[in-house]
Amino acid sequence: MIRVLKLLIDALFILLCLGLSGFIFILPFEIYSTRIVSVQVKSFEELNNLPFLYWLGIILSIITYILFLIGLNYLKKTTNFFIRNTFFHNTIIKCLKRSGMFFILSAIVLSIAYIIAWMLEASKGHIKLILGTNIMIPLFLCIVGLFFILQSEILDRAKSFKDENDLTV
Amino acid sequence: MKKIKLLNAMVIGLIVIFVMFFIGNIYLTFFSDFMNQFDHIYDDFVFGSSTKFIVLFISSLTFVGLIFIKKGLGVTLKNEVFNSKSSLSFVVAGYFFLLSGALGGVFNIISFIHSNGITGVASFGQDLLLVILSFILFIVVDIIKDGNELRLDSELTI
Repeated sequence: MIRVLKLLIDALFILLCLGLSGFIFILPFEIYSTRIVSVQVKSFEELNNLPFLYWLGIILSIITYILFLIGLNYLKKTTNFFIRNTFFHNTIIKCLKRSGMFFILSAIVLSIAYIIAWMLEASKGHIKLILGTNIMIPLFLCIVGLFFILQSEILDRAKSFKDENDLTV
Repeated sequence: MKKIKLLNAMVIGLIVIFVMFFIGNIYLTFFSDFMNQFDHIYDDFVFGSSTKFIVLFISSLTFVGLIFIKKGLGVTLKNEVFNSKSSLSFVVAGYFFLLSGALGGVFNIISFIHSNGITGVASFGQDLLLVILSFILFIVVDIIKDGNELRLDSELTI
């Protein structure tokens, strides 16, 4: 099970790295699109004329991506320990906590980016409230992040029980 | 306990959003003519007009998983972290997340191939995250069980 988990985390990490490099590669050319903003650009002059909020939306979306990647990298480190069958280790506790914190941070930045995208629409005179999966993603990321932080605390407490037991023996 | 309470509140928030999402979708699909104007869109989809039902079914699996997470967290709030009751809820939640992530992944891959890459693979990452979360849940259950045994051991020693 742990090997499958490691394989999945590695696959997601590689997929996201490819996505980020692809995005950066595409950026100077014609079209760039994130889940938050989608802009079609035909020339560099048009690129300069884009509103500031678009840039902010794109920059925040890249920051979200990078924060998520850092969180995933800490999770990758954790699984390396899991594979060695060492669960009660300080590094695992630290990595899980950091991973959770980065996931929560990315969820917060993502929420700000969604608010900016909403403000962009509002500045054009359209105000719309959409109940879709986009609202769920930041909340779900927060839940995942909190779960990892919680898991690190559970491990920390279990480790202290184990240390106590070992001392007693 | 504060973090568990916060997590519990967020899970409840997500459950509420899911319920609103389901009510909205059911109303628009079965009790309104609003969606008729978009019927032609489904012609291009690999599963045709069944697509919305497939997506709804996969979302409902995630929803059921969330309900079990809520149940597990409720038990944890009542009986401390290390207990034997919350594990079952987390395991069931893990299986639902695993099923939802796997089916969602298959659905997205089929859509990706059918659309010649137009749909992209962004959603596939979310499905993968759901599967990862399910495996993490299984590991959490193992740690809770081990921790519970260690706690009982140390209590017996005292």
